[in-house]
Amino acid sequence: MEIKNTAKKYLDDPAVVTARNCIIARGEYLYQLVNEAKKKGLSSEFAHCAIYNWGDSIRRRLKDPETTNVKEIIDQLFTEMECKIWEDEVTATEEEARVEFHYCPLLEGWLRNTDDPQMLQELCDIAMECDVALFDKPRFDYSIEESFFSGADHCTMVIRKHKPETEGDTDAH
Amino acid sequence: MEKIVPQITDNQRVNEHRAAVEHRATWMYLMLEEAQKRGLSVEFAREAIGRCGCIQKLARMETCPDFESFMKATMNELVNQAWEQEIKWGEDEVFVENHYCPLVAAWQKLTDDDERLAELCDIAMDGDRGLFDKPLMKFELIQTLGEGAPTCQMRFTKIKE
Repeated sequence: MEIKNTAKKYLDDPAVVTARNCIIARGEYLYQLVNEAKKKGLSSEFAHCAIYNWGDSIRRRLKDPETTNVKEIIDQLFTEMECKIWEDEVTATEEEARVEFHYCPLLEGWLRNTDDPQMLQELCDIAMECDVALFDKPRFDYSIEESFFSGADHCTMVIRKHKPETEGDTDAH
Repeated sequence: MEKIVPQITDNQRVNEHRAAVEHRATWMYLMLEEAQKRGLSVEFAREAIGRCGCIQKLARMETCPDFESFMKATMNELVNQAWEQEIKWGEDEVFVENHYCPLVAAWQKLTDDDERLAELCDIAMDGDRGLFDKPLMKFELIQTLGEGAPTCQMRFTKIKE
């Protein structure tokens, strides 16, 4: 399956190009570290844990780390520069946000090193641990509705305020 | 070791570039920590990051196949400002002194263990060894901010055919 991950905008913006190159390099670091660890017998669980911890450290630095206001978090994280780098389209309310990103520099870094679909999905799952830490239960429900790996030319991330189904719902992360 | 402090602080592009490099250094630190907790030695990271450098070298040599163009492309204006570099350019040798390092800055936010800092720096420099060493040049690492020196000093010497 062909992966359609091509930057289309801000190609002549030196700040965006530089930022993308840095993220590509970070993606390459992730691939090589995970791959080398696997060769030495360690599963990628270590990387999942590391990137989740990174996401949690970002959460703790938000204005209100325990907020349940989706828009409040989105506004802090999806700056103008971030939206340019990832070619994001963002819509957000207090209850819900949809983030559609049309380019992933991390994926570009991985594709320079591997075309193994399983490895690519695994690396994506590792990288998304950052978002899981920021947006998952018990405060929110987080899901990926479409992705580059399902043949789309973008990824769509949906975050909704978690609503307990019944009183005493203890569905915690 | 004292926290390193940048002199250039009011350039948005430099600050953004430093933040991006810090992000990579932080991922490296966190992954190393988790891997070592699970019994892996740092060797895996040296090989991984060294390989990153080698791959980047091959990619860069496609457009910069000689010593001069390779060094000019690598030590560009943004890198020069972000690392606060003093560079002595010669035909066959380039001497670089970095007065700041965003990787060290990132690690200093995560640990105050000087030995760990020096180790992280040397692991990251495996990337530079991969990037610079052969076939275009010989790369010498003389001293580093990560080990507590006041600056990083590196010498790049052209390998003549």
